[in-house]
Amino acid sequence: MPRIGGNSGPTKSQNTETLSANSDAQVVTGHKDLNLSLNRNDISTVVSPDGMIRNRDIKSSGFCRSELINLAKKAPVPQRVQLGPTCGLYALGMVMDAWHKKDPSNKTALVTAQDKSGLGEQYTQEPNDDRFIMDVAKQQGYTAVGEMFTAEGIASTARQFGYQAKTHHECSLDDLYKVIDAGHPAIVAFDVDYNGNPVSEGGARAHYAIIQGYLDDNGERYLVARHGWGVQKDHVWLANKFAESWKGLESTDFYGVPGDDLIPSFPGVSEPEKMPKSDLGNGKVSIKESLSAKIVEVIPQGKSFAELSHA
Amino acid sequence: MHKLSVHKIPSVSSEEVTKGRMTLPPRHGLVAVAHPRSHDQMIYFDVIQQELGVLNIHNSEKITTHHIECFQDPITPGPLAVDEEGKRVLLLSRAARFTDSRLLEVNLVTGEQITQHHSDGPGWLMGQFVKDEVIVFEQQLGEDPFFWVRRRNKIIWESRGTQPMVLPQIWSDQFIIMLACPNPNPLTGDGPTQLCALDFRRGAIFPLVSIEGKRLAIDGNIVRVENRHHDAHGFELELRAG
Repeated sequence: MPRIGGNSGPTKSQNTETLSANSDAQVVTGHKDLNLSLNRNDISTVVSPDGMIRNRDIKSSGFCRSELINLAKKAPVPQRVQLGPTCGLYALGMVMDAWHKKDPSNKTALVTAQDKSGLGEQYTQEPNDDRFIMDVAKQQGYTAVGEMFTAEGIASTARQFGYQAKTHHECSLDDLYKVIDAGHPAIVAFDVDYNGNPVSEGGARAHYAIIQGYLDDNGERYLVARHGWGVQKDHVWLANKFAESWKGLESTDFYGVPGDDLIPSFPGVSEPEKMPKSDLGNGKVSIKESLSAKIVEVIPQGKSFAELSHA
Repeated sequence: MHKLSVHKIPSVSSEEVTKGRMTLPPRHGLVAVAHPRSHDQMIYFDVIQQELGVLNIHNSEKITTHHIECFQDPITPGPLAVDEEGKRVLLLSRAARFTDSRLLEVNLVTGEQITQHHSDGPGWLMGQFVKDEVIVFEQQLGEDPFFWVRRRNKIIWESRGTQPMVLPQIWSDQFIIMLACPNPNPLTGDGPTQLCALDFRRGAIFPLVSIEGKRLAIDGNIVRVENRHHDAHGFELELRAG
């Protein structure tokens, strides 16, 4: 059977601990009329050739893909479908929705006024803050049209809505698992392919997602992710493939020549004040320092950030 | 039927492959391909200006332009397929980012636009000319992604999951060369790709060699596989039929 979450404990007893710590993960719903209860004792493990203890093959689990996804999600977020090049702001909106859902006093807001007509698509949680996330990000100087090429810009914008937010730098997959194990959605950037999955393009297709959980199957670790395209609510990615894309973000041509105050794709729109300024000299700006291998952790006041080894 | 084999030949960078052939400088939202009948011209689609046309590569003078009413994400513009004469172009057309897709055939001479295929919901379409025919490649996204290759409205190959958006190339009057993942991972819906020969007359696919790539080109029996859009890494493979 696949192992669901619990990075630090690949043994049966620790799996049990993980599941018991997350009551949401014990009941699987959402597959038509199926409402399946997971017996914790059903999660059995095998010893892989490399000596690591893994869980049994998905094929033997009896769970379908959607059930496995629901089991794996330790930090689920409601879906929002983005309008425009605004993936980072919608990712933040989804995380705000998740915290708002747990405690209605936590703030959530629409990304732009255009979202108002998009109930069920652009938002699912009624906002309790009249400001628009895009406006706040613009006021902070991080964006011109919704693009967020600086992870710290996401964190800074979240703080304006009363959240604590931290940008973790030079992260590893283990760091990512620790954030998820804490029950916190992890906002990350990666290169996206045409299907909404990670690809390694050196930042040419930089995009944001929220990692909601992870699972092991057949000796491989997978991440459960959601992002603003909404073409598939929950994406499942090989962790190593995501990591290659996440760590490989190097440059973008979005701003053309930095400092000329022109954005090639948006005539008449000025560059934002806090855009990445590292001119690579070929119509590209470096985003390695601002985006690569970063995790943005956004949590309500009173909660503690995940403890990462080098945060 | 031909027996196909593939041989890796001394690889050269795509920069070397294109040396001596002028190209347009890469720009956000611009897709351009060489004109099949003129070394001095390129066929381009400017996603931002929604303009399809032909230009003189030496002086950038536009020879033909047509306005194409469609949306494409400037970050991920779809490929252009051009017929042997350089008169007809196939491109992806959408009303908005995640809505229905149309495979649009545009006549560069007359400006006439024909919808070759329509696909509901999120996904994408590519097409390739085989003489007067169009082979359609359809990726349906959503909760249960599926990929189809169609010829004359009949499905000639299908696969559950997602396939890379790399424009297949015609190798002969029987085979299309494409990058595909014949057996996608059931959890992720995708997987490592292989260079495959698809017999579009019989509907059979033949995986030839495991390889990742972002762009394919064919020159005789030589297949060029570009690894990335923005660098010069590439592979050359020789196809042999016997």
